Amino acid sequence: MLPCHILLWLWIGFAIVCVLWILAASLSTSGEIFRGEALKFATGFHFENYIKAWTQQNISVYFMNSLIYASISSALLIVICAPAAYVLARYTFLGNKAMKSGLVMAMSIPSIMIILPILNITTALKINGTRGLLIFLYVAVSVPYTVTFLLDFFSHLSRTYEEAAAIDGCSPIKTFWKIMFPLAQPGIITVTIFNFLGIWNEYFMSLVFASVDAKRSVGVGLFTIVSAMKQNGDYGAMFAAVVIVFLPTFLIYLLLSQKVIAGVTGGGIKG
Amino acid sequence: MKKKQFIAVLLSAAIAATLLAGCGSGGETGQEQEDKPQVSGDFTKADEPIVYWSMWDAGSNSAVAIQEAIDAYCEASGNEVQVEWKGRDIQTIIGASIDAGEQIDIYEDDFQRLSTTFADYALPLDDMAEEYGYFDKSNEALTSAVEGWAGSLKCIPYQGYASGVIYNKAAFEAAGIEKEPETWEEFLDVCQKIKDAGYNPLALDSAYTTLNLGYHLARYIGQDGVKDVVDNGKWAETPEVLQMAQDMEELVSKGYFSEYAPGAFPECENEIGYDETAMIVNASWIPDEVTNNTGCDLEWGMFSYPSVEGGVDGTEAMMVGAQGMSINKKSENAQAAFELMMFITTGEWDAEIASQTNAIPADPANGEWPEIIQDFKPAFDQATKGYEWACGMENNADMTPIISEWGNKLFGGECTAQEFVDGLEAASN
Amino acid sequence: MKKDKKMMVLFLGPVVILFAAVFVYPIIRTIMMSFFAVERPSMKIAEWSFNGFDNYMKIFESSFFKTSMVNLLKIWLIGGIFVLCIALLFAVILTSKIRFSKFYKAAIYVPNVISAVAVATMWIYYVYNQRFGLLHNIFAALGLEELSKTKWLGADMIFWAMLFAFCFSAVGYYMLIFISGIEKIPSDLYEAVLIDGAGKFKQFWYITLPLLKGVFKTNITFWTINTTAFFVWTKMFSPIQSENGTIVPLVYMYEMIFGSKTIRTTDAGAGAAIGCVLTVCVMIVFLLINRFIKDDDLEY
Repeated sequence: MLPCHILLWLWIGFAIVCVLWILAASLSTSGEIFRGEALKFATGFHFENYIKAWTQQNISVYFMNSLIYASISSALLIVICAPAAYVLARYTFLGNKAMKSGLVMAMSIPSIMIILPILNITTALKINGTRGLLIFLYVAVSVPYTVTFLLDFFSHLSRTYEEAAAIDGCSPIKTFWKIMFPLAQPGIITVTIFNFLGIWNEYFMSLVFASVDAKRSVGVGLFTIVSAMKQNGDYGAMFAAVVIVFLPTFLIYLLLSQKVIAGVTGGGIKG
Repeated sequence: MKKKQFIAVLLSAAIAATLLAGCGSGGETGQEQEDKPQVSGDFTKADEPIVYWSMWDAGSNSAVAIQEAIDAYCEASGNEVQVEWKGRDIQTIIGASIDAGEQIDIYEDDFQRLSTTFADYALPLDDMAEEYGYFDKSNEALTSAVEGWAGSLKCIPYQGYASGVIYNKAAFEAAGIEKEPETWEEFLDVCQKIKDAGYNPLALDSAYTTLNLGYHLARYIGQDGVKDVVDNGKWAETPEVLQMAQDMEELVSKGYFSEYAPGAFPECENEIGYDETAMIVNASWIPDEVTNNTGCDLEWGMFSYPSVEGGVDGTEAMMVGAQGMSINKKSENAQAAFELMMFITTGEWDAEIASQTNAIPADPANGEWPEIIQDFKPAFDQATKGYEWACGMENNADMTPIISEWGNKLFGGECTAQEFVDGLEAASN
Repeated sequence: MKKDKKMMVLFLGPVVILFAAVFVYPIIRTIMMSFFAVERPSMKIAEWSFNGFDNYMKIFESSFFKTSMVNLLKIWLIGGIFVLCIALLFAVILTSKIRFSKFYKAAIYVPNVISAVAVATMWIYYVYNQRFGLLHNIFAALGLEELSKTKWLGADMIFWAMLFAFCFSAVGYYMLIFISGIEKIPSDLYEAVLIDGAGKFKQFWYITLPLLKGVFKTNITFWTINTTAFFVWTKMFSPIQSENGTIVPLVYMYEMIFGSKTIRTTDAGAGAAIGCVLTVCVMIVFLLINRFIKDDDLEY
């Protein structure tokens, strides 16, 4: 067992050292960082890096945007995808199979295949750089994954629930929302966590479609900060910005990590 | 003339300070605010806010300085300005956004790209410039370059840069060098002396490999020759390419480059700030960058890239460039937008922005360059011939990364001059 | 079960509409576009002019495009083998009743929840730095002078530096999926083998591995999707200008469509062609996966 522990610790220790260094660098000056003296703090702790990173930049705006994009999109995704997945899992009808494989195919289509025509439409409609557009796109693009994921989940639920409900005279729609939807809760939580994290950290769509500084998400926003601070030669503030972006997700993860992991490992992914 | 009214400049420390406090530009510390220029005069009224898409990233020094100028303009003119700090992304979105009918009045990018790729989007500014007397207040080399590419004045250049060999004066002193070299031989001699004095003679970051190669090759065969080589793959047919590579190889083999060269930007250029390395072939933004990165306090010098034996171009040819501002030809606020551009790129605010960003002023009337690059002026003034970016070495988009890769090998001592030529010849066929 | 037409329309409708709007229509249009000369994505169909296979010829003649495809293949194949092997190794260790396994799982998964921009910044400015970087210090401390001087971000190494950084972040996710697969293997299967006196290695080889076939398929599928979307790491490692070591098709396409420091005339038609080529490649990969890894859907 000891070699296993050592191996795992090497991997994790590497990451920890990096994070600690970033923390140290975020409290140092550019000169100290480039001299490799970030850990010495010869000129004290430069907390003003954080003030600079925060006040000169729109970090709070980027956070808000990502929060809006990720939470609204993942909520909408459930409302839209859970019913569809249920119907696809439960009813046989013409085109069922085709739809299922269509969704699986769509999951594997590189995003580069779809952005050109969408960009054409959105520029014609002048809706580039609006929050609504980004939410719409995030929802639409995540539909195949979410439906496919939930489909598997619903198909493993026993039919006896519905049969019982039907005998009680419950309509199929009501049956779904009252009985089946709550039963699928573990799957729904898992897929929501993934959608949320995926959209929170999404970069490409945000870069292409949210070209206005005020609408940027965290990923693209941080990229902007990194290049601005590089232009200024202010590497201390650059690392401060990295820490500011890193911390909230990390802290939330510390609280939720067991749920996230249970989500991946215990979720509906076929094995 | 309009210009006179416009540039009726009043400089009063007290008024300027109140003005700035009212404008609330933020971000900047208090000490410099006393002598901010204040400009008053007649301004064309804009009914709607002037929309300005900038190439700078929010929070960068340039953005902070330009924002102050804009605030002063708003105060003076009563017009409103909406700035979007687009950062480098601007080049990727400007075309599509204008096509889509987005309300943009002013947009920025590299002045060459504005005059070529984006020229169709821009309003020709010749008439307005004539009326305003802009041609007396601008650098002719830059404006004529714009006209050469675009056929008319499609953008207003600003934040110009000069290029050549930038060096730490202290290192030259330590090596007992009194005269800046003009020929390649003198340059090699200087390198040796510097090395003997305990410095690395040269720094190089991989982002500027093509610039180093381009400069040297252009000295042999001129910029058009360089373009011919990279566009038509004449690496092996042109003997000067091998000659150039051998010259570079000699620098490497004599140990004139820092051991870290070519470094990952900005690692190697920073060595000048640590007093380890003496010179770098680059542009006039180096002192500002290195000072910010390393906190050094050096005296900087620059000389034009040395001439080579039998070369077409001599030290009179220099790569110069600038950023630029264009007006969208669909703009309904063109006159007001133009005045805003003049406000930023000429006169007092031009000087102010130049000093805050340590850049070359766009208006020749601002003869005083920021202190840190003060001594670059003679080299710049003696130049009579302009090169484009990388002296044509980046003219072929498909080849640029390959040239850069082979160049890095050459400068890293990982390939010979002959292999360099053969590799590029093979890659371009 | 009785069908309820109204319910089906209501439940499936939104998905069908979204699917048509964001997948079916754009895909068809992109395919069409790849056969036309189209300068900018904002151009209307009326402004397109048919040019047959010219776009394809153009990209296949571009050495930069070829390099980008080779890089992607290397990322997919070499990175894939590396990531899946490490992920499987960790998964096996962490399901073997090791202590603190919860902590280990959580820690290894962390990079997946952090913005890739932040993670890449750390690698570029710290780990790979030549003067004070972590790798430099580690090798110097071990007395490996030569290695400590490696230019990790130089032309020779930048691809591997980028790939390793990318893989380091990716391992956690695939590890968790392997763990979920292993945990689903009933323990009585192992017990049966234990009675036969099989060692750990045999257990792994004869039980774990064959039963993980489906999980492998899932992982390879996700890995493929993940790598074709490779974009931000290249942007971070080569922010000013793309280079041979880091270019991937998505970045190349982005520059084709929007222009870049060196690409001054945009070409959305060629961009569309790149999309089509990449999609065909992905389809081939999926066909091969489905062909060679039969989804037995083992019930256990």
